Amino acid sequence: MWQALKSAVTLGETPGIDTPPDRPEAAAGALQIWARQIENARQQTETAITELTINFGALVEKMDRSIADAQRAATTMASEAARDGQQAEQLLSNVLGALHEMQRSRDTLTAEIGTIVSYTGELQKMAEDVKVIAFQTQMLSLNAAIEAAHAGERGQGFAVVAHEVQVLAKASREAGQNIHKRIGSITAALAKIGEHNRQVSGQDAEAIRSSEVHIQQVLERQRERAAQANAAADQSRAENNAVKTDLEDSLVKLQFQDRVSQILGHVVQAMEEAGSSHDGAPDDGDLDADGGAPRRLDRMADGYTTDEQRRIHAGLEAEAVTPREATFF
Amino acid sequence: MAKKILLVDDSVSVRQVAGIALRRAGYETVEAGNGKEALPHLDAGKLNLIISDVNMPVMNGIEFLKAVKAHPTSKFTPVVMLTTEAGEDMKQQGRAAGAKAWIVKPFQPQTLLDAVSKLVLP
Repeated sequence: MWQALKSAVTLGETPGIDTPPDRPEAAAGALQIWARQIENARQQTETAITELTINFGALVEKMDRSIADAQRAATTMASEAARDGQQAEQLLSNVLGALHEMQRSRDTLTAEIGTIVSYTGELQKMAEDVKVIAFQTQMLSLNAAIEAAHAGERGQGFAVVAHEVQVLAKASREAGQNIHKRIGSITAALAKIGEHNRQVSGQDAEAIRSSEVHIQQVLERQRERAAQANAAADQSRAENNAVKTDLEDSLVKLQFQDRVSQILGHVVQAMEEAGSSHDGAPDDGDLDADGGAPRRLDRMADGYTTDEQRRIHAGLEAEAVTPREATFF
Repeated sequence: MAKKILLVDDSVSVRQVAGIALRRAGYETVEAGNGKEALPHLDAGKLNLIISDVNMPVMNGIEFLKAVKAHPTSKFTPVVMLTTEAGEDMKQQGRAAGAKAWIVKPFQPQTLLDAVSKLVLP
């Protein structure tokens, strides 16, 4: 059959190929059938590749939208997370500031209590002075009473005054003693408050230090989570982009359909021409002036649109088809 | 407003690949399956660029290119030929008919976009 095909294509002019009269007719019929088979396969491939290209194109455009949506969502989330983080940091910083302020107030109170305690020493001294003055006044009143007794009848009025002074001195001494005692109590109470304050202040400082550590840990964890979320979003974007790039590459590769369709179209056209016009003998139009090389082959070559068709026609190997740069005029 | 590009090719696959690349780059596209189908687009409105195949049924790319250059609204519109045809003779025919660039299929979308961005006026 292949011999018959070659006979049909070359119109029986290929040297060394025997072409009995009935063979070219059969070969012509075979050529027409094969041409239809190839055309059918070409159309099926074209339809399938076209649908595939449309689907891939739809996928690429869908992924474009999906990636854009995901990017917007990730940007919004990252922005919100950053804002939440800043707000949390600000709030926690405010809390820490309030705690520090409380500690400073307590320290100030402790210092003021210390100042008041230092004043109580002076008050004690003043109370002691009152007692001494009261004692001296009492001694003075005693002396005055003695002198009034010596004065006899004339000193009776003065004796009454001396007695009253003695009573006042006694009262002054008792008041001094009371003041001394009260100041002692107040001093003891203030000292107790001061000590309690110092203890509480120490505990507060420890609590604040501990809070600061915990807050820093919470913020650090939040920053880590935000970074992890960003990294996951970046990875997802990169994977989506990789898939999209693969799809785009596939779309570019599917351009082979246009090329293959043209090549097969020319083959089918040549086979149909050879099959329909040939009745078993070459006509004049199929031969060149020397009656040797067939003109049909030249006409076939005229219809070629790709480099590989021309190379194969010339008996060369087809070169790999790769995208080229544009030519500007 | 998006620049409008007319894509003329009998291969849906090629129109799809070129169309996606152009639309993603912000261009508006209109399509036709051969030169004759594309002719009404020349009357329809301002085209910023035309991309055309050469080997097409009904009206091939060179005939269409001549029609574009003869049309009052599109005679100054740049035309890029996008074809499997790599022969110098055919390129020269395209150049003589008024094409501004020639890209051989298969093409990288970026090659097409570079050519388009060079030829579309701002």
